[in-house]
Amino acid sequence: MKRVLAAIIAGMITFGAVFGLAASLNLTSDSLGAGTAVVAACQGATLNAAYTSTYSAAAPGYTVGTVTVTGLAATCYSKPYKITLSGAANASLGEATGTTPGVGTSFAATFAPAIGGASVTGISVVISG
Amino acid sequence: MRAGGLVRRRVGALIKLLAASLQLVPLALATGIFGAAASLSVSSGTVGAATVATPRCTAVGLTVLQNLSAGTVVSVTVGGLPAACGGATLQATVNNGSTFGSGSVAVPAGGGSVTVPLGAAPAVTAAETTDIVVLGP
Repeated sequence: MKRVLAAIIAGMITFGAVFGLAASLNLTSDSLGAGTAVVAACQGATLNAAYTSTYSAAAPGYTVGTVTVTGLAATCYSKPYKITLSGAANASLGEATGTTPGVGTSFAATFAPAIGGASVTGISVVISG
Repeated sequence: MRAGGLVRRRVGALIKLLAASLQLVPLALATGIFGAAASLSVSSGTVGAATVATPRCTAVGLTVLQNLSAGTVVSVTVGGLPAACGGATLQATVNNGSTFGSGSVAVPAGGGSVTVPLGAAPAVTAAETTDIVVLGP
């Protein structure tokens, strides 16, 4: 019996030492996390931009003060938008920002000041959120 | 002696089992740590953006004729509109420097010419400006 107890104690001392050494290794680590997420558009259907022009005697000439975007899907409701009208060399002529409505299929963006219609050659729309 | 040998064998087996189990602890911990790093979840909002050129229904010159009545410009006739402008809305304004008159009409499907009546008839002066814009189709 004494030999058995001696074997148990010897074993405990042996494995205790092994795990004692393993536990004594000091290691710290900065956090590391990685993940991938798909950035998707809120809708796949085509949006259409229509312009509303108003004559300005001060300009003088026709100016674009409102752009109406149609074709809005429910998946793009209540999201921030930005619309930019551009001219020569794709330079920005003006920008309108806002939030898409929570109902309906269209919304109107107002440009202040209005932009000379003859200068407008392009339009950019971004909806995020 | 036989009972003592049995106890000895059982204790020895227990010790081996204990040792084997304890050796798995560091492995399990390490697996758990790296599992946590990989399990970082990322979500993303939506972003949709597009840029498109604003097309012109025509790039050729249009003819503009002021129609006069009693020394005022009452309407403007715009000609040379191609079929591509059919269905669009043509707006015209005549400005003599002090007053201006505006109007709009729909361009027929085949294009051609349209006459735009002016809401106010500005007086004819040495130099009036006529502005037109075609919206749509």
